[in-house]
Amino acid sequence: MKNIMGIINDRDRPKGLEQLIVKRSPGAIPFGSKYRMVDLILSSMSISGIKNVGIFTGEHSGSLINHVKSGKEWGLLRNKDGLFMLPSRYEEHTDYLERSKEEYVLYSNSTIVYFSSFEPMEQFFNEKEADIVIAYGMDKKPPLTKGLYITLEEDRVTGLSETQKDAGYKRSMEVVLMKKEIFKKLLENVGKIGSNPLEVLIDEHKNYKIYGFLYKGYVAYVDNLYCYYKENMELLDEKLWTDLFQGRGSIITIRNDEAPTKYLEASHVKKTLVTEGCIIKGNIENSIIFRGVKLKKGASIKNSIIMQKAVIGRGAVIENAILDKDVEIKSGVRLIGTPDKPLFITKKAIIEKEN
Amino acid sequence: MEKEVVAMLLAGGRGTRLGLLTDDIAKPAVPFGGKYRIIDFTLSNCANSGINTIGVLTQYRPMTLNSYIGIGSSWDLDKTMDENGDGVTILPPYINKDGGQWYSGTANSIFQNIEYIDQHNPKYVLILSGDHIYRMNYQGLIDHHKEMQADATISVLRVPWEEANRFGIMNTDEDGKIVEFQEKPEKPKNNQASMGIYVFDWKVLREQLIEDEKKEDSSHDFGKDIIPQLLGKNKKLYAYNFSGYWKDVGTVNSYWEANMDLLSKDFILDLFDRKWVFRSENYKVAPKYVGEHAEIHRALISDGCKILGEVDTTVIFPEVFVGEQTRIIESVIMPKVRIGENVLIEKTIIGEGTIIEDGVKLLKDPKDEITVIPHQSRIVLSEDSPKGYEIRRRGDA
Repeated sequence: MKNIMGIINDRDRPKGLEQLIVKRSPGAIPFGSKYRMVDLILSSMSISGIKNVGIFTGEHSGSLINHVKSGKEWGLLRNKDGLFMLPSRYEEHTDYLERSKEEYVLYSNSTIVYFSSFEPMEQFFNEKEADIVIAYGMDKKPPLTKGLYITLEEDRVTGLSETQKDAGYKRSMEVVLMKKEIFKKLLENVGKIGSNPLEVLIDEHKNYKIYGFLYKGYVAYVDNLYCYYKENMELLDEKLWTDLFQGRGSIITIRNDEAPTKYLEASHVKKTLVTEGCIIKGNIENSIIFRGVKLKKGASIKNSIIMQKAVIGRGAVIENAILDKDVEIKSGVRLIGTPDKPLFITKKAIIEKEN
Repeated sequence: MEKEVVAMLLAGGRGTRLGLLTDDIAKPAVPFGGKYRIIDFTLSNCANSGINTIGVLTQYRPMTLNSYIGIGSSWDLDKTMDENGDGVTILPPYINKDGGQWYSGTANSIFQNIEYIDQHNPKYVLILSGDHIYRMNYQGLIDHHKEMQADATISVLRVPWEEANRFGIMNTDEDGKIVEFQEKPEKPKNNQASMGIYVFDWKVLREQLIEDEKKEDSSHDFGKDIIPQLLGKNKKLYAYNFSGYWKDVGTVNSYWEANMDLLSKDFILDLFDRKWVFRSENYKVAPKYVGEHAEIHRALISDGCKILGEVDTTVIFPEVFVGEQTRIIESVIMPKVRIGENVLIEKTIIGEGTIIEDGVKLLKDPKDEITVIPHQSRIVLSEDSPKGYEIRRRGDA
């Protein structure tokens, strides 16, 4: 796919994700035990052979930039092309588009959960001789928050909207393949017509030949804390783990050089995703464990997401909770949320037992 | 350009005593500790000690090792990483206009690369081995060498008395000056064993290497030849005391033991210390999936694995699948091994990429020996075999 460049938009800050993006951008939200959200789209681009990627960075982009670094892991540390950070106003970056030799742009936001090569989508684009192709997933009940909704007649997109206007509108994945010239026009009109390229597209869509491409693999939308919790928990399905992680290529993230996870005598771990650098002396069930988590003897974790480097003290009990990075839970603390409303513990919090 | 220290890492040995594990790859490239290869420990020690010019001497089956080390970027030892260093250079035996030869001994391998060392014109040369598991700041050794104004300094470790006869033993005076060296003595006078880690003044070593090369009866080995020759010349050789975990994983038994050591509760070689990270190849694999009926006790397990059965006192490398109703005890399972359902594995080292079909029972050897399954095997049930299974080479019919 040498003729396609990638554009990732990491500027949208969904209200529902507020707690997770206090000091990070949406693309930098930890996901699936060892990844950040942006790893998924970067990896899809990487296995599709895309060698030129630009990221529209927004508020708190430091977290994203520190994660992605040079882009080396995704094959983007190159003398020619590679990874470009695009801060500030959209319109300023038309130069970057002009400079790039590719004729097509693959545009995506940074938080869509899926992993696949774009080759079938490109083939579909060529068959239809389209100007623009928008991917949509199989999910019958995606969350109906703000997004990019499409109505279709056969494969042809006849309507575009930011919200679901009526039952005929499907939620798209906001993954858009288009001619670079069109994307350039969209950028030029940001500020005049809409506040981002997709808003411009919604307004201008009647001018273009747009098709909808049905993506049959796994797709998930993470635009509020509950979706985030639910989608992480979905990964505990063995079949999904196999489909998502054992297919063609693998999802790539930066290296952390952590030791393999160590399980001590008293550990009991069931139905859980665990990555490296953890020391586990307690019980874990139905949970997602990020790197460097230390679980002391007698501590127990159930139905929870435990992000990087948490320390869980002796006998602590955690259920239906999301612990952000670097949290310390002292001995004997009980943190119990409900499956519908998981408890959220902010980054670096230290929780002690009340006397 | 003048450099203070150049390290020479001996990684050419076959490691015959590791048996089947080194049929295809050199000993330093053998997987160890759930995600590392043996050589990672020495390379990480170098990087963490600020040693940034390293020649790696390879000879036996070097392909895996060469491609693994590459330009050293996994350990931040790529030569662009440090403006004063030259990074990692792989030094296989080579041919010049006068011919060429294989490395015939540890000292000979350095002799053949005098030119490489001269090019950096170092004050000191650090000789390291690629088959030890330990954590050491080489700067302490080099500082000691400078302080004593020694010609050579040898890192020593107190070993249990009953094992002292397996090592090169250093007898020292009160100041730690070496007065006598005994290679594998029947009656050791003390228990200070050489770890095979030396620092030399380059001028002294260079001269001795050239002299030794001319001796027809020499085996061109550091322990057997160079050290005794220098002592004979009354050169100043000092011992440097190392205390900490150090293990030569040269035999199947010591390899297995060193892996098991990592499982103990408060093991002194801390793989989790973020101030001294042991780096390795970056496996681009998924987080590990632990199934509903899994049981894991005393284990070290890497990413990319799917564990559905029971694992006890075992080290598991990336991308290993363990089926339901399967039980693994006291074993080492190398990368990409696929273990079916209803399998039993006891005290076994299973080589990379091996497939074990459903129902196979690899029972503990009656003499309590460690069973070794070669890399890329396929183990199938077989009624004709007394053990009930048959080991085939993967890919063979």
